[in-house]
Amino acid sequence: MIAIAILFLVPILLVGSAALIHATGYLHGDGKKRQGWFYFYMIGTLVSMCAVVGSTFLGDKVMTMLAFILAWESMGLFSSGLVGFESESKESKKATWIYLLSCHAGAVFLILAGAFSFRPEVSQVVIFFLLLCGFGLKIGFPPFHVWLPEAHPAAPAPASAVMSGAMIPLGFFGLVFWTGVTCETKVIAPYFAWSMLILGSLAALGGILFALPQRNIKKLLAFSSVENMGVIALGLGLAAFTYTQGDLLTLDGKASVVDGIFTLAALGAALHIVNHAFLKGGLFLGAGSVLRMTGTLDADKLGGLMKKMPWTGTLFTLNAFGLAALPPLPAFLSELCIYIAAIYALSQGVLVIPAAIILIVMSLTGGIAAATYAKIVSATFLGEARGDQSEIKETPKSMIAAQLILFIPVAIMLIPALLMIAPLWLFRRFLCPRGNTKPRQLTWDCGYEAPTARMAWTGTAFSQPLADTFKAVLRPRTHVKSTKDIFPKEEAIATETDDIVLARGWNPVFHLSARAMQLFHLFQSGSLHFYVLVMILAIAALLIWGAF
Amino acid sequence: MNLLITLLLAPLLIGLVNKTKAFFAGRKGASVFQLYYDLLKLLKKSTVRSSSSTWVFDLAPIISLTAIIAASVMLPIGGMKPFVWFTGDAIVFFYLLGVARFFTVLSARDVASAFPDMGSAREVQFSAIVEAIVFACLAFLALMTGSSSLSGMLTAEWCEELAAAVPLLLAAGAWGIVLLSENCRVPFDDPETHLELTMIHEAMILDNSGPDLAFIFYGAALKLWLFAAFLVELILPSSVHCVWHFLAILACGPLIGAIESSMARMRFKRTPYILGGAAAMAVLALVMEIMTK
Repeated sequence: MIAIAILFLVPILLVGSAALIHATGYLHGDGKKRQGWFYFYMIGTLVSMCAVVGSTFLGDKVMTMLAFILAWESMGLFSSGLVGFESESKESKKATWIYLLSCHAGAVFLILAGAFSFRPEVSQVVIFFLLLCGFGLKIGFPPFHVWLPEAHPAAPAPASAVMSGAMIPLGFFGLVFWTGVTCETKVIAPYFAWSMLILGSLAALGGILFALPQRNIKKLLAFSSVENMGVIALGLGLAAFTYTQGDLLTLDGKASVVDGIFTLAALGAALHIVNHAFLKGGLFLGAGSVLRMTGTLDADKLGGLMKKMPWTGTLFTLNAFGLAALPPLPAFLSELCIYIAAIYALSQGVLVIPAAIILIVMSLTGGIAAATYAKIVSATFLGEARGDQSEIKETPKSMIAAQLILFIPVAIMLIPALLMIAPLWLFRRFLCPRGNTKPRQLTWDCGYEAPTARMAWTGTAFSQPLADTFKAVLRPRTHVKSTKDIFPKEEAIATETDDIVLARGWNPVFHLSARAMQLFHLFQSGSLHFYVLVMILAIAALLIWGAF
Repeated sequence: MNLLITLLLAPLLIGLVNKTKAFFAGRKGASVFQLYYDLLKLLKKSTVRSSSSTWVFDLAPIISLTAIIAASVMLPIGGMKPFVWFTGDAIVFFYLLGVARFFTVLSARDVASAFPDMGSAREVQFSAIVEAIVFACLAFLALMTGSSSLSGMLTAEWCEELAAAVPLLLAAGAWGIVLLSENCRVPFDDPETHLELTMIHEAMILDNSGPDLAFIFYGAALKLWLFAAFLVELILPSSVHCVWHFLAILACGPLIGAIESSMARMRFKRTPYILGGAAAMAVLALVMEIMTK
């Protein structure tokens, strides 16, 4: 238990401290009072996150439950202050509203689950699914993920880093802990395993698919958080599946096989929580630096920032390389553990179907993730600037230092990588007769002498072919302004991809319920006489009911 | 031993492809060793880099080639153990190729020109789908051979009855399509077209020159060799002498050349359908194997 607590406390404390250091630069220029409020919300969030983990050590079940719910709720409240902190705009208010709503809906499920757990007549399966809904809202399993892509872009970057890196995975902490406390392992293992497999696959694939076409850097990162939570869920699911193999344990010597799968899958999930915290924290802080220095998060309006902000750009590129789960960086190692668990299960003929699904889902996710991160890095930092960047300079040192703290695991893994590429670099530098002597020239571009940045593809254009392949799911909206005249005029095309679950799932539900609530409007006429009449009628009805 | 042969013979495979294509076109064609001469020539030249580019462009060719060489260290050929093998090395193998692709794409985007951008956008489109096909094949192989490392997975044996060979042949078919797609051959990409608009891999590296370009060409040749070797090892039993394995890999060259000469490059909008077909084949092989187990 201590080990699990440390696993979650490390991201909270390290991402938290890095975010606080980054905030000193990020909030530069804001008033004292505003800064005060920010640190109040931020430290409140961090303290209640630690309290969430700490509350599980109380021992007594009732006390633990009360303390946990209190800490969980205060975590939601403090962080909703952060979500609404950045601006007074309509989007920001909407994001805060959705976030608060999802926090409280989650709490309702948790309180119900807690209350039911004292009633032996309520099935454990019901309790488990209540827990799953409650914590799933925080983790961001589809269709409960809708708050993530709204809240993360709205919140200030240090807050997003903490929320994405350290807060969302706490959902897994709660889910595993409370399932363990309230349910018997034997009974619940198949439900747990299958729901993790299905929700994890949906989250991983759906998250990365919707991340791919986003223009807003932080929105893309938010969707990619959904994806990473999906990967963690797949690892946990595979580990849980080994419990369903209980009867095999004693039969034909498969005990060690099943144990091996469990260890690898659980280790992969656990490592991925930590790795994701560091990498995603670093990426959100990098996005914050970009916003602070350029004033926009729209990757299609940026470009070429590597030359102006070499530190931020390099760190962002390497973090993105890491989060695309490519070797040898840490996130690859954690995914590798899950992969090996799955392929080992397949080779031993155990848990064949879940293992095959996990392999295919994770590989497709990995392929699209690499495309997504290649897109966001190249659109923001590489190539030529799309717009005037003469005023832009590197961020203050504190912001770089904050990112360097979160960069430590990547840096450690980069050392062997650098040693590996060193021979070829030395070969090119010293053995090739004319090495790197020529000065840099204009891009070749078919010999065209005056290229502009507008000729290079934007991030949206880059991701369009792949997004098009999946357009049945993504449903992008395209606005075309074209001319049918003989002579060319101004033409324009814009593509947007909304979160389909919010647009087609939740919004209609909310509209319908709002309309249903309109019925009660009949009773709210504002006239006192009417209210008195209704009250008298109600009392009369009650009296008549009681009489019979 | 097989690593050495791989590193030495890889450019020859490309030469064989080109020679076959020349034969079909009724030309005499360049020598099969042409790529070796090209590599030597390029290594002697100086490098011109774009003024738009950054360290990513400078390092990308080195990183890509290192990753591909690192991957080739893990491939067993002809029953010979590779340099390095461990449980799950297949995953590292394909993810290393992913690293090579990631940096090639980034360096293409770094020169801020529409042609490399176009190529890289198509590259990620195909490769993302291919990734899933590859892993479906790996799942099938792990299930069939009961092994979780490449050297165990790629030791096929002669099947007594034809029915048992069907899933393996399906997987090999899917792998053949993956080979063509990943190595940018017809019908996915035409490496010899004269229009940048229609290229994928060649468009991405338009701005590379000198030793950088030599690294990229050599990496591409090595990658083709790795995929061809994978295909051969998939089908050819390890009881056959290893010389035949190497000959079979080289024979993939004329085979690819013949395919390239007998069909045209497909429209980019249509290519995902072929990949869909390959995915269906791989998943079918996997499902058949699950049903029979």
